[in-house]
Amino acid sequence: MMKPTICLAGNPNSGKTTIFNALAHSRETIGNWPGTTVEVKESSCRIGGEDFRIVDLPGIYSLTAYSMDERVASEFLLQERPDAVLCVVDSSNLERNLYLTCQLLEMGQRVVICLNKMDLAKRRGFEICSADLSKILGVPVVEAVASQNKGIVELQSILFEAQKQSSKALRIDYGELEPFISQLERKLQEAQIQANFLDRALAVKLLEEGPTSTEFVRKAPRGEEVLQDVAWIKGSVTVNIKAQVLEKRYAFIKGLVAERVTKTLTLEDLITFSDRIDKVLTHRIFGLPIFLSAMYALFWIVFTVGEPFVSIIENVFTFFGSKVAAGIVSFGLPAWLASLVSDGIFSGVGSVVAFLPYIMLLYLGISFLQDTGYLARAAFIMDRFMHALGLHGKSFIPMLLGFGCSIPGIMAARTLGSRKDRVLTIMVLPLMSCAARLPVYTLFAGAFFKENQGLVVFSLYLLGIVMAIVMAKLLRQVLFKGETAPLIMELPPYRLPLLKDVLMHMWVQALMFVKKAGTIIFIFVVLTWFLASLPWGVEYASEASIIGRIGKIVAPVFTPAGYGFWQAGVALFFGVMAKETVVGILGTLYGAQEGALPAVLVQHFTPASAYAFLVMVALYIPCLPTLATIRKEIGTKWAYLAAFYMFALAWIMSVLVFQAANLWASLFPVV
Amino acid sequence: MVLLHKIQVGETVRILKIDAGKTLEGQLQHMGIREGEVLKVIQNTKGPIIVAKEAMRLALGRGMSQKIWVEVLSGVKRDDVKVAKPARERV
Repeated sequence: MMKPTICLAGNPNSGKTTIFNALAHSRETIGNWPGTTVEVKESSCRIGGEDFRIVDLPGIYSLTAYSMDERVASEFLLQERPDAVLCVVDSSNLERNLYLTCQLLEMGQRVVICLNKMDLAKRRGFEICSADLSKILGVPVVEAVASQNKGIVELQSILFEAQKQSSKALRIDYGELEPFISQLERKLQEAQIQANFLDRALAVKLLEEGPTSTEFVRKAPRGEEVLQDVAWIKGSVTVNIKAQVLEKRYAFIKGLVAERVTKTLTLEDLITFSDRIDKVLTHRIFGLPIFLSAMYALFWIVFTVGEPFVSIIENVFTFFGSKVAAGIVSFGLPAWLASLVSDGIFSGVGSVVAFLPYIMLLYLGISFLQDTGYLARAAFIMDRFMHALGLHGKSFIPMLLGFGCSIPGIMAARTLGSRKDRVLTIMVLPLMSCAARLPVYTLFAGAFFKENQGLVVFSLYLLGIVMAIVMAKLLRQVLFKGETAPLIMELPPYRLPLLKDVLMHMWVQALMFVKKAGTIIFIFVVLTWFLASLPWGVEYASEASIIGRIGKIVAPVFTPAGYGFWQAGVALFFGVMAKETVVGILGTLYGAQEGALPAVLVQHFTPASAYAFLVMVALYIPCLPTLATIRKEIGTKWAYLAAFYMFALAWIMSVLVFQAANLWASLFPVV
Repeated sequence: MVLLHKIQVGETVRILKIDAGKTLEGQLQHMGIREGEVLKVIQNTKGPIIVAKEAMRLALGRGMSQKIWVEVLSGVKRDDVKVAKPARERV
């Protein structure tokens, strides 16, 4: 039997994800800026001795599909009929939150309302009579403070009861629209079109021009008939249907709230501590410098604190690699196996795992900023600047995430309402240097630019940002003509992040990375080793090996950039699978352990070609997992375009850098 | 009738009309920003602005705030006079 499904719905920042975590005991990210949960997340949980499937819908304001998140949520509710919907409501912001609740109730879902953040509501002077609320709406209402784990046990037992009960639908009187709603309802029944919720709710959604519902009906066998009726109704009523529906819903909520909630504070009293912080942090002059300093501090801390850990991990891998290889030989096993283990696995995977500390620290910092609420302000501060670039203020957060890994960044772009803005953001996002490119940077910077390591790495990050700006401008002019959609974003109140939440977020990201290192990278490193050893008998990683031949075909392309030798070609070729493998593969090809690699590289690269190589790595084709994500999110042609333009851009920049450096050297020879 | 972006920090206004396209208007309405609602301007930079609707704080892009017509309800609060002194319009 299928496990019963509990689905969580609620506004952004209602604390939905915290409740999901409390119920599911799963590792989930909790964010303090709107739209952290960018896709439907699933887990299982055990309530009252029974197993449940628990689904966390993205944070949304309504089911009318203005943004990708709202689309995802409404599509889920069209396709599935959850056994219970837990509607998480921010009680300090009741009216607005109840709008979504009403929509769910009208659908006839088995709703349980969770009045979360009751502590905040009390501090803001709201007295909510939840028993009355429950009576009027006909569904259970539970008070909770999820951040302190209050009310969770009660919530569990009520959910357990609720999913077994029959549902009661809320019926809002839409006044003069009523006859048309009934007419449409009959038409839907006649055409035998049924969604996973009440016909009446579907009829209202069609009149509201909800895109997901309209698509749903269009696909049905007799859907066109129904849509013709909708069009006819629109033509024959004088009132603005959308406005009327909205008006009636809000009127209902106002009435509901007016009698059951006492407000003891006025708007003036609600100018809070948070606003005073905002006076400074979002100041029109100081806001930007404060923000830039915060970003600088973040990256400085990440790299300073991370470095010693990175070298410890490197040493451990080198040590065990040689020990295990020696062990294999002493057991009388063939030497090629020892070589596979030490050259392939240990040096390849080790060089990648080594920069785990950077990833962990970066995500620690980002999730901390996110949970305090500052990241949402960052979008506010950057809006003017981003706007000038043809991007959207909200594009900023996905791009910042891109410094960790492009994939979560691309997913986070779903919060952008307009498709143009979203596609544009995704197209330039991989130019942000992800953490996977960092080991390549540090390896080469350490080998060739010992004096200015930090500067070299910084320049590559900057290059990515500048190129993103240039490309955004260009793409906006060529492909996405028209205005950027204006910023509309809720700013959550500042708060001290829960240590647990921040650590959990970091942990999830780190785990994802280790899994990637453990699977994709492992496979490619082993594959490289075989390609470098075949056909049997050739010298390991020599030109005669299969890999040498592949490299030789690719290499001439890079001759103008100064690294037209086959090892570089192979590394770049495999780097498309995952950027961090560039280091691992160079290590494998040169048969050198992590520690010895710089010395070997110096024999092959000059400083100029090394920097040109780094420019290539910084800008060229996004890794395959990223391309797959782009394809999934916005379509195949965009994935191809991204791969193509980024390679072209990287090649041009790389060649330019190399030629310019050589020209400079010939004009001003170092004596 | 004034456009929202011309309102100084600390002033309270009532929304009279939202002159954006269908989508933007709908988006705002579902967040509770509708005609007749009362807002307080918390921050007004050359770029986006921040408004308060009860406990909610909303960042609105410059372009957005130029599409919302409002009427001023209260004068500038006493303790905000210092902030509001350069009363010349910033456009």
